[in-house]
Amino acid sequence: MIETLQFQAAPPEGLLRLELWGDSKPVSRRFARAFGAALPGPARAVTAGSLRLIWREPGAWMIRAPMADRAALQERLIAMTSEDGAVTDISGAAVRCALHGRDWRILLTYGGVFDAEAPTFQPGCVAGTVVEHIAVRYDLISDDLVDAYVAPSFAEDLFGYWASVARNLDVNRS
Amino acid sequence: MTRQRRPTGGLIDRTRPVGFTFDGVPYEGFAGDTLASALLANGVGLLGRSFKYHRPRGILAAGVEEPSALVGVGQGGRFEPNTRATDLFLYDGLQAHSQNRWPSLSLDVGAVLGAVARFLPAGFYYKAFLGKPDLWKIYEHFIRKAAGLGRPPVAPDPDSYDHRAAFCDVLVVGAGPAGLAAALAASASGARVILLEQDAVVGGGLLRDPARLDGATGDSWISAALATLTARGVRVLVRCTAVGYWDHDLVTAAERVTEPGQTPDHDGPAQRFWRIRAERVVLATGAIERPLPFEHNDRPGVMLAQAARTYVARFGVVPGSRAVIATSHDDAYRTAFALADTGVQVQAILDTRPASDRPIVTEAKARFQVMFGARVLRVAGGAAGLRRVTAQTGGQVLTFDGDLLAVSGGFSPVSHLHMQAGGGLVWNETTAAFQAGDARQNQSSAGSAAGLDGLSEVLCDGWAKGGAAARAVGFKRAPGPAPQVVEPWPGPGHGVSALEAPIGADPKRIFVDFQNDVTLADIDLAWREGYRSVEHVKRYTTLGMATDQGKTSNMIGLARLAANEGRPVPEVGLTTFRPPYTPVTLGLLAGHRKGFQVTPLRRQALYAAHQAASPIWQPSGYWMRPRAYPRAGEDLHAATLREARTVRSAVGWVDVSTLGKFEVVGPDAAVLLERVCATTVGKLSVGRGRYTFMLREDGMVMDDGTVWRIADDRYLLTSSTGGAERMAHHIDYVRHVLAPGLKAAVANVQEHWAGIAVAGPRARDLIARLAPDFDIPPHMSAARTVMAGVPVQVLAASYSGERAFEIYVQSPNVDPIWTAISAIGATLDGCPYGLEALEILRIEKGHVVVGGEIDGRTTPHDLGLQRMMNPARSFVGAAALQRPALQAPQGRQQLVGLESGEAIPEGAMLVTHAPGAAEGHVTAGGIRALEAGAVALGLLRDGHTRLGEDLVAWSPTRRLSARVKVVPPMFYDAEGVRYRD
Repeated sequence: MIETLQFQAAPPEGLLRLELWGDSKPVSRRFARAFGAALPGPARAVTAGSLRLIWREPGAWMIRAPMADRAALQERLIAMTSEDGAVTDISGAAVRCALHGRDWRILLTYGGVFDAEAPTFQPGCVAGTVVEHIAVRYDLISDDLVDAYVAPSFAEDLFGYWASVARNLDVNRS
Repeated sequence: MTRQRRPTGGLIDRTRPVGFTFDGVPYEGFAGDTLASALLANGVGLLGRSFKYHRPRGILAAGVEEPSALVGVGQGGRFEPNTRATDLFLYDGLQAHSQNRWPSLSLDVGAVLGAVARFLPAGFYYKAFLGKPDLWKIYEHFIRKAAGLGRPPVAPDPDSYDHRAAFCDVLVVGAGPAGLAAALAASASGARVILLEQDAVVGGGLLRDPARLDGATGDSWISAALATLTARGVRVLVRCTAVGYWDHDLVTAAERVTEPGQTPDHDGPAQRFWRIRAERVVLATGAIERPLPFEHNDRPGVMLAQAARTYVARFGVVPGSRAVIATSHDDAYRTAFALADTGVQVQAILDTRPASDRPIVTEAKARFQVMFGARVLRVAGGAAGLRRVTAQTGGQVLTFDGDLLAVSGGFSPVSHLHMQAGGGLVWNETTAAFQAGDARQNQSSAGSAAGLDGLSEVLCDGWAKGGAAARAVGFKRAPGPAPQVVEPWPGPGHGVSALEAPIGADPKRIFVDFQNDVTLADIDLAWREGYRSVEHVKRYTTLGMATDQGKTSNMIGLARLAANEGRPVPEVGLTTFRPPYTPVTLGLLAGHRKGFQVTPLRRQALYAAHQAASPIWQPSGYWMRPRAYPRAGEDLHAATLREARTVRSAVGWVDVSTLGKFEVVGPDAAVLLERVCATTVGKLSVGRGRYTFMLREDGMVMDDGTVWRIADDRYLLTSSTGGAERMAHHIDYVRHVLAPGLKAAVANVQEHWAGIAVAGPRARDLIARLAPDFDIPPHMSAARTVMAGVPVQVLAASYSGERAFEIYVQSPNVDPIWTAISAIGATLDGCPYGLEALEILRIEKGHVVVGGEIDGRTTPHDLGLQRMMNPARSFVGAAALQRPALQAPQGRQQLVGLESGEAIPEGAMLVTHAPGAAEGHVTAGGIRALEAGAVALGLLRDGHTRLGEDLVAWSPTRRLSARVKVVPPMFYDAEGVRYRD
């Protein structure tokens, strides 16, 4: 019997984009001193206190923080990056959906082109892909929890699609 | 009744009877039966009529290669035409219908076409088209009525379809002996393996022929192999056909979750489309037996020898009572034994080859009349079945009574996927077959698909190819020894070419392509008429076209063409195999989405608020935007005019959240923007903005928008809704490729910021009441404030020609702003407006739009934007603008305005006199908001020098025209007075 997948749309959260145009190592060291974790490498994500640091693309990260801390964090990051990069508030640019249940790997093979079943895709990995024409970014938290970030305009459509697939996952499984 | 179910035997489940109907007549079969086997078991051998001559058609094969036994299945939206009865597994309630007959299968009026076949030669349609054009009017009706194979469903498809991705180290296509061995070997090495099988069960030829593998029976070995594969985590997909092999080892597969016409269980999908990306692919796709050429070789009762054996061994069905075997290969001898063992009277084995003393032949000679150097000349029979077989041997002509002729003209390896993957084919002269040659991708062919013959060789080859594929990916563990085989008659079948027609037979009666009624005479005619390329012959005669794509017909047709040419077959070549290998339904390709919105629907943050106002929606890319907000009794036109007039006379507000938006930050932000934008940016002081536009590298305008300096080192760039994705890519390209060293960061904030534009002479009043203490910025200035308790960024920009403000707010917080604007706006006689009013207002003001005037072919000069260009020429596209063709003083399509007293048809050609040659076209047209008449924008050759000319906007396809005067593209407040407070 397949385990039930559950969806949980996250409440509004602070999302900041950190982009560095030079060597990222000095900033990463400063980041580690300030927050307890260095900026994660390519296709990786780490948790640092209340922050989730998610690699986005070369030289760019998305930082998730409680909404209440967003403004202060932005100021702090701007000071930290100094002349090495920029910080932009993108809180309204993505919504997060938490997929609970071990069968998220099966679910994410539907409508997409991403190898969600790859043994190397383990907690701490992030990936950007397309599902049903919709750009989506995965942040694998644990074996039974994956966060999916998607533009708010697509969220209802994508989550509806996933819900419809998940309803029949025991039928679809093979 | 000459066909019947045996009391025992076969792999069907006799404890589970299944009821079905064929042409409305109820029958019963068993679980595991195909429609073909069940009909044979019920004594039904006539399944349809051929496409062209309506000749009776029976069952030739037992698999997907079947060209003749095509039926329509299901009801309503689930009806599926052209389904192979040999590839359709029984389910309770299955309703099948024969095709291409009227009024009934046994009494078909269309069969009269067979009598006039000589008037319907190859290339009939082409020749018909060469006649007088008026004649087409006469026979079009009849041709259209006769055209098409099967009938499409007329109701909407109620089923759903999945698309799914899968990845593996080794993909094995085909789960016959070679495929199973390959999967076992690859998985033993530790590789991630997927095994596809188009049949409902795995095993392939092991289900048909007795053998012992590793000491077990075939059935037991298959079960053990499946258990091993499952334990190793191999994904085994049955009823799943690999239909396409694409670049980078992407294989697409169609999985039948339900059978055609069947209602899915549990609201699940009917079919699933797999995209499988593999590191290595082993093609164990088997081989297809070929028929033999003789007169009336398409009659019901003529069956491929392996198929006849399959019906006996797998389905427990005896396909006839008196059989003749005609062959050029040892394999058909097995059929003779299998049939005889069930009580069928084997009249003779007609072997085209010379006599031999191989064990299987010797054993057959002891039981049957075996004739060597023997060819079938013709058969007699019709819709009721086969009656006689006439053969020649050694100058003698002999006749045999029989209701089954089992034929084997040798085997063609299934190389379709190999060829789709770019692989070459090589010709095997002995077996007269093409087989897989060079591989262009990471594929290998195994077993029969590689041209091998004999179970032991096939198994060993599959084992070796599977192991090699795993090793190639890096799995070094040895898989152990290949399975050991013991079978009654081991070794190859010693097949020889039997592609030529027997001497003395009439080529008009020898069918090559059973599905399209192509005869040897048709091939000859095509050759006489000058068709030399096999691809041309295919299209002229329809050889190898339609649903079976020549799986059983290609080789005989090629051989005939080669004989006419006097060249060997490999020099004539082979038609190209293209996807799909077997037909797939359109629903499967469409996948999850169907109906009106087949693409994702993007909902702006205010979607619910708009929905509550019941607007007329308009698709805009993936977005759905309000086109107008009609009030009671209003149509689109009335609502649009009211909304546009409200903006001109009071105030209106429109959702502009979908615009592209980018924040560019850093000490080099302005430098980066002056690469992206064709205007100056660096001179903007903080809090100021300007109109800007962007060019492609070829100098053509690609988009436009505004750019704002919102802090010392921070800019906001807006671009069009439709071009937002393209602009994101373009900026990324400039940032990372053209100017990677700049200290600038770019964030796509399209959805971070929701936007509402407020426009009209009372817009300032509205803003003042929303934010009483706000120091309202002048035109093209920006400022921050708080509205309805929410922080906002206000940009004083206008797209309408009126004093206007764009209010940007973080998307989750936009609802209170819209609500407040609506409430205060209503007290100012304002209203929301949609895209249609926006269009009228922008045309009057002469603003260009992407997709209209910015059509990918216009330069800044064409659009009258050249004075705004950055004189430093640092922007993308600047160099290309220097090309002579773009510098030429004449010949360019240039932006103009058009005025008329009558409606100007959008898209119409601009001509001097109608009818006449087009000199341009109307890009956008509309009524005037406040005054009488119509205005439009257009692109006109040398338009900038033709102001004052009278032209005609002419649309012959819509039978519309209007006289227009060419004017400057600005119809409203040319001085910009209305922007000022």
